Amino acid sequence: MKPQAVIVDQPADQPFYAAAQKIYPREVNGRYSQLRRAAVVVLLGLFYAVAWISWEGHQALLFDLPARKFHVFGLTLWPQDFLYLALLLIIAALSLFFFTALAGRLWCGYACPQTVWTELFTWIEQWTEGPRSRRMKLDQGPWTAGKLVRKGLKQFLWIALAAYTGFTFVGYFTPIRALGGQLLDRSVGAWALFWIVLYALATYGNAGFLREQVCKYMCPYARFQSAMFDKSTLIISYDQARGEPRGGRRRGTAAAPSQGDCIDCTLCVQVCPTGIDIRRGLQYECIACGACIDACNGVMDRMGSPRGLIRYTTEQSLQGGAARVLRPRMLVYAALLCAIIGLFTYSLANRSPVILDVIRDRNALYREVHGGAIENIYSLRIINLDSHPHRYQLSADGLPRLKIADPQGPIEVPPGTVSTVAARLQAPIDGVTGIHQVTLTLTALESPRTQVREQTRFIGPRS
Amino acid sequence: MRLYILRSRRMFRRMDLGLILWPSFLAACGASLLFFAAVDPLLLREAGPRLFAGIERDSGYAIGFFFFWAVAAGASTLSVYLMRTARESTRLGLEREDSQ
Ligand code: SF4
Ligand code: SF4
Repeated sequence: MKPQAVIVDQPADQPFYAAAQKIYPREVNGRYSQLRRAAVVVLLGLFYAVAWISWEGHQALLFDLPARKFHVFGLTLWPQDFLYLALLLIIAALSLFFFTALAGRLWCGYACPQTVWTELFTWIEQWTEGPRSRRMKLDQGPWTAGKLVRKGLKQFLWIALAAYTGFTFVGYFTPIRALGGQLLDRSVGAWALFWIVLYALATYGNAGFLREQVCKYMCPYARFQSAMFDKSTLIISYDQARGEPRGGRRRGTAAAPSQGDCIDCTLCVQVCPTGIDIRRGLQYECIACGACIDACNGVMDRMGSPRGLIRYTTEQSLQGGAARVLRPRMLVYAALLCAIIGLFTYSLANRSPVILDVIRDRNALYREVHGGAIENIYSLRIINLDSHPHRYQLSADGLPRLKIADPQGPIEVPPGTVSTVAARLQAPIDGVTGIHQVTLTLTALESPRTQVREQTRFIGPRS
Repeated sequence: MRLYILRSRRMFRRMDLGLILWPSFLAACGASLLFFAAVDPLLLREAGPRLFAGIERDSGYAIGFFFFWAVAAGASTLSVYLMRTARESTRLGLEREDSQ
């Protein structure tokens, strides 16, 4: 049968999506909330503190964009080292896949900046506006002086925190101490200020205002994470068989045989930061924060029933099977991860701290100099990737009696800089007809193991 | 069988703004990372057109980022537009069938 089209005109002013209902997550205590609180303190503590740590006279962790070099503690990386950054990003992505397949949305529940900052902003909200019920009443009530003070204080703290976060963030890309000084004496550059404000706005918007909507509508990971799931992935789930049919009962009494353990108190819904009801089954909105587990365990304790009506489990074990950790998927992810981590460590350990580019002089192929020698001129680009200055000695081989006319002394290159020097090689005229391969070697005088070799051509007259 | 089709009076809805700006923002971040890892903005000052003569590193990064964002947003806009008009075309096609 042909489909019959029914055209529904959408009124121009009607939004495409139902306006998001504001969610008032209820405060909760328990094992997983403690874990998350610890994660928030550690992760945000690191974020705010590491920016101020110094190492050998510079900021320990600094992606110095204005100077185009990255400091990672003792290591200095230059744009030439982009490979390491790329490998690091691949490692991060693969770890995310690995942990998602193993234990679901661990990242979302405990480590995602979205979760972590939202938690911090929620603490401020709870501190200024009180617990859930009070917050709801406050929002519905008229604008009294008390409401103004509470809301004003919350906004003030939020904005201050967001501004400081923006400052810290930019402080990882331009030296933070100098940036702080410039902010204090108002000499900060327009672009630095622009990025600080932008990042502060993003923090405020994401953690204070958008919250779960970021996870529901904006986050790509939230959409594709289910592709890494299988039946043995840890998920947070309500035990349907044990809980249903739900219904109220008196405290301390066991459920009647016809009744399940769920007393339908809806606490699990009230604590959920994304506002879903986990009892309806696994939903993509669930960020696996474990708040509903904590809430339900508290209720079960009070009711005198065993914990774990909502718990970390797997689809497999819910259906009565045994969950397997070692699955082909896990092995593949683990193998890939190990291989790339190995590659990363190997290449980092064998990273040459000096790079040599040899470019032949374009103007003349060769010239004859007095004393019957042929001379070739090269331009050498020497990049010192170390964090110390070095003096390099140039040597050449590949032709009998080949010698370096210039530079004879060592070439000094400051750390992280590119030096371009002209080099002249000479060889006696007899025996250098045609084109020859020669090798230039650069050796650091301070550490002879720091050495690069580069091939080039030495051209003599045609025979 | 009925096929319900939502027809919008507006070419673009407010929600589309998010659908256009957000993915293109992510794309611009990636593109800037790759591009500026290879190219120093100061290089544009020497090698680029006269327009870039006064460029500094910080303004170079920012201009590059917004340029990539604009290009990616253009692509996103086109995608949204094409998806929208594809739905409209389906509607027209079905209407034609109905009138036969
Ligand atoms: S859904 Fe996305 S934004 Fe939300 S917690 Fe997970 S990774 Fe973070
Ligand atoms: S359903 Fe439970 S675990 Fe999932 S987001 Fe809500 S409270 Fe967190």
